[in-house]
Order: sequence, then C-alpha cells, then structure tokens
Amino acid sequence: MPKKIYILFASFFISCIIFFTALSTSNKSEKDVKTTQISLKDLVSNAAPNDTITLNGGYYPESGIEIYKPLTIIGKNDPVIDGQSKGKNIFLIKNDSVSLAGLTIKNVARHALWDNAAIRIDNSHQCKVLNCKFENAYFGIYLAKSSNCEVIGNKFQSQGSHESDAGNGIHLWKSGHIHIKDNVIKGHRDGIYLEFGKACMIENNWSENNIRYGLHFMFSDSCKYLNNHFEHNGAGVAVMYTHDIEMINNTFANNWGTAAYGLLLKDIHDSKIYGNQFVNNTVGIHSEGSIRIKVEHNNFIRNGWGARIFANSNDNFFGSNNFISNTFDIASNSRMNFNKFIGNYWSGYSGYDINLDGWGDVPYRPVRLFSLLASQQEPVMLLLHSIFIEFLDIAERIFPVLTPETLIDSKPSMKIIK
Amino acid sequence: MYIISLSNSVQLYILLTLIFNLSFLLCSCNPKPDPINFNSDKCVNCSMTISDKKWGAELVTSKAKVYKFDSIECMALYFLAFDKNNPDTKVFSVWTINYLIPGELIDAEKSIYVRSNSFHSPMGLNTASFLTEAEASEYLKSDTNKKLDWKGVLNTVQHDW
Repeated sequence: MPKKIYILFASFFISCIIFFTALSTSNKSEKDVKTTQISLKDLVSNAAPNDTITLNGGYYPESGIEIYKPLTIIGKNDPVIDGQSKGKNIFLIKNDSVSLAGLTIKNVARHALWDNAAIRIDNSHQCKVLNCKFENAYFGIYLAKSSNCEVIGNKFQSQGSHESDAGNGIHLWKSGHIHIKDNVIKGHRDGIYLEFGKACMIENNWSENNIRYGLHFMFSDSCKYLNNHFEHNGAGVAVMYTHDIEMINNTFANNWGTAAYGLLLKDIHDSKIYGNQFVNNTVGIHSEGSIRIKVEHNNFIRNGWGARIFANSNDNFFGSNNFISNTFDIASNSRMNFNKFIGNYWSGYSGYDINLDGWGDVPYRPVRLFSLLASQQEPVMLLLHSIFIEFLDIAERIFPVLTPETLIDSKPSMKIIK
Repeated sequence: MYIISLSNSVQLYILLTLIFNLSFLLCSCNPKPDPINFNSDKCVNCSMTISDKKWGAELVTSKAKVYKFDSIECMALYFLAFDKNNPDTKVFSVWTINYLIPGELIDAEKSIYVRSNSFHSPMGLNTASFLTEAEASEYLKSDTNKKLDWKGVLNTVQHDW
C-alpha cells in the first residue's frame, strides 16, 4: 500500500500549506497560495504591512478588495480576479507603496454614475501596476490625487462600441509624475486620459480602436509623450487647454471619420511636435487656438488634410517636415496667417532649383483654393479632382486672391528630408 | 363631367398642400432638442467628442438649429456669447442632461444645479443638473456643495471658474 501512504502524505502536506498561508501574518513573510478557497480579501486583510502575497494561479470571483497598507501582490501562472460585473471597484488602493503585478483582472461593473475601475488608486503615492491584464474593465486603472506611480507593461482589452458605455483605459485625475510605459490599450473610451495631470511621462504605448481618443490631455501641463503608436481611434491624440507638452516620435495612423484627427490641438501653447509620423488620417494635425508650437521633422503622408490650422492659431513654426501625397497639405479658414512655414518638403511642389542649392527658387503655396472652399462648404468636396477645380487651383496659385497671401514656404526643399 | 372631376382633383391637391404647409409651419413653430449621439457628436464649444452620458447640453435656436455640448459649462460659455456671434437668430431653448438619468435632456432654465467637488464634469465646472429639488437635495448634504439655478450657473461661468 505505498501508493495510499503517498497520497495521504501529499494531502497532509497540501493542507499544511493552506493552513499556514491562511494563518501566518508574520512581517515580510512570503505567502504562496495554491488554492482558490481563500478569498483575496481575507489574504489582504490578514497580511501585515510590507508583506508580499504571491498568488500561484487560481480564480478569485471578488470585487471591492480594499488595501489600506503597503503591500505587494504578485501573480504567477496567471491568477484571475473576476469582478463578475458586481459591486464597485475591484481593487481600491488607499495607501502608499502598493504594488500589483502579473494579475488578470476582469469584468468590472458598469454604472452610469460611478466610474468603477479594475484598480483605483486614491490619494496614494509610489504605487505600481506592472504586467497586469485587464479584460472587459469599465475603467482600467483610475489614479486620483496620486503621484510618483508607475503603470508599466499592462494590457487592456474592452468591448467598447459607439452605442455602449465605455470607460478610459488609464485615467488620471489631479495626479502628477506618473510613468506610463509599454501598455497596450484597446476598446476603451480614451486609451489614456489625463485631467489636471502634471509632469507625466508616457512612452512606448500602443493605443488602438478606442472610441474617442488614443491619448487625451485636459489641463495637464509639462507632460511628455514619445514613441507611442495611435491607430484606428476616434481621433489619435487630443491636447487641450494645456501648455509645455513634448510630442516626440509618435505614430498617428488610420484615424478616419468626419471628426477624426491624428492630432487635435485646442488652446495649447509653447509645445513641441518633433519626429512624428502622420499617416492615413482624415486630418493629420487640427489646430485651434494654438500658440508657439514648434512642428519639426515630421512626416505627413497620405492624409486628407496634412494640417488644418485655424486663424486663431499664431506664432507656430513648421520646418523640415515632409508633406507627401496629402489631398490637401495645409488648410485654413481665413486669409490671415500668423504662422511660419520654412524649409519643408512638399510633394505637390512643381517649382525649380536653378542655383542647385537644394531649395526651390519659387515659394510654395500649400493652401489650395479648393481646400478653402471645402472648409466653408463641405458638400463642395464632391467636385474634388474635377477639371474645373484643377483649373481654378492653378489660376489661384498664379494670382492668389482668396488663399492666405502670406502662408507660403519661401524655401521649399527639393528633396525628402531625412 | 371631366371639368368637374378635374376641378375636384385640383381642389384636393390644394387642400393637401395647405395641410402639408400648415403642419410644416406648426412643426417649425416649436423647435425641439435632438437626442445626443454619444461618441459621435462633437461639442460646438470645445470640439471634444461627447461621450460621457452623465454630462451634456443642448441649445436650440428659434430657427430650430441644434447646438450640442459636452457639458453645462461649454453651453453656458456659448450661450453668453450667442447674441454677439449670431445676430440673425435667437436662443429658443436650452437643455441639460439629467444627472440621474443618463442621456435624458431636461429644461436648463428650470433645472436645479449642484456644484460639488465630487463631480468630475468634462470641463471642470463640476456642476450637475437635476429635475427636482428632492433629487438634488441628496447631493446638498455636504456644506461645500452649492445649489445654483440657471442664472447662477451663467454667473459662475462668467466670474468664478
């Protein structure tokens, strides 16, 4: 009967582990949970400050897990915390230095009045959310009045559609110095939303198929976002009522629709747009009321409008950009222009370079007459590419009457700028 | 016979046209708000796509043109400058979303407003509208929360925001 004894020993051993994990509350202890019988809430409430809880697989059908002490929860072998669309937030963190890693959190309750989140971090600092997966979360991570937190390597997948309610993937409210890196966010309202944020760093994220914006700044100053990819969102990125934003080496692609933009700028000043790719968008950059923005070394390729700049934007500078195969390179809604364009490459440029210095000898007028007409009367768009319109355009280029007289690139590049 | 039947059909035609015109006139006498298409309509004031069903507002002109907004504060700003920007038409009615019933529009001039830090409205005025005093009173228990009427909202947007 050695087999039976072996089984007896094994079951005794396992029950010992369960017993000890449930009871031991000693400081800095390592806990290894192998069963789903113990609730995560009990584990959290029994843990001592600065403990590390390791979940080895398992399924926890729970929500409303509140953490009031510094704690680390690490998931191994894909433990699942399922909110079952009940209750409010799944995790509510109300203490500094709480870290969650390697968890799968799913099914957050959707509610009309409460912004329920998979993880809500409230008034807490130095918190971390690393390598977690969020499935069907209403709001993914909600940071309120928190600072110096890290949100790195997470995946968000929600089934937001135009008809249904959807929350934001990562939502910041009155939070500063947050580092958001290497996340993939799909199917939310806004991929990443910052309201009253400050000095946040957003890098290497992939934001796709979000209903409204891939990334959205409201009243959030001194932030930086670089090397992100925004694709198929309602609009790629919206930067509103903000200043001192650096936007570097991002890709804005395939944002199509009547209100779709690669990048929407509204009431923003003193910022930098450098080295970005705007590819296949209805509008590459849409700018309303933006002041002192430097737009350099970007590629605008195959957009409906490369950039649409309203007359209330001034002192902006466009230099060393490539405008390639856009239906319209630049559009404006007025004859006034207070922005500078110099040294860009325009694929529509048909001038010459007799002195061979690499710069065209005739200035380029990037605003076509037709784009001006279309911005005033949208249905006119039906006539695009008709012979009559081409004729009008050529006439306007030779004798500008309606298009902004001062909106010219006096030094257009003959070659694509690398 | 022919003449009579023809005149009959002409009479009928005239009658129908009259009814049609009359109904058209009656309709246009009463410009109505239009439900907000969330995640597709854009705010006229701030260009943001309207997507949070707790917040939103509408302004209807006497020519039945509908302007949609993502928040009460955006509409208030637009309302304050409306006469200056639109000399040939007038505001017919203003509507806001009932905070307690997502997407439902209620008469903004009769709504009860509560300004509270516990609300996070899209543009930061943090003011919600309610249909009745009783519904609003739930949110007025805290001393820091403030009750406003439509004029009070306009005043706040103009001077204290």
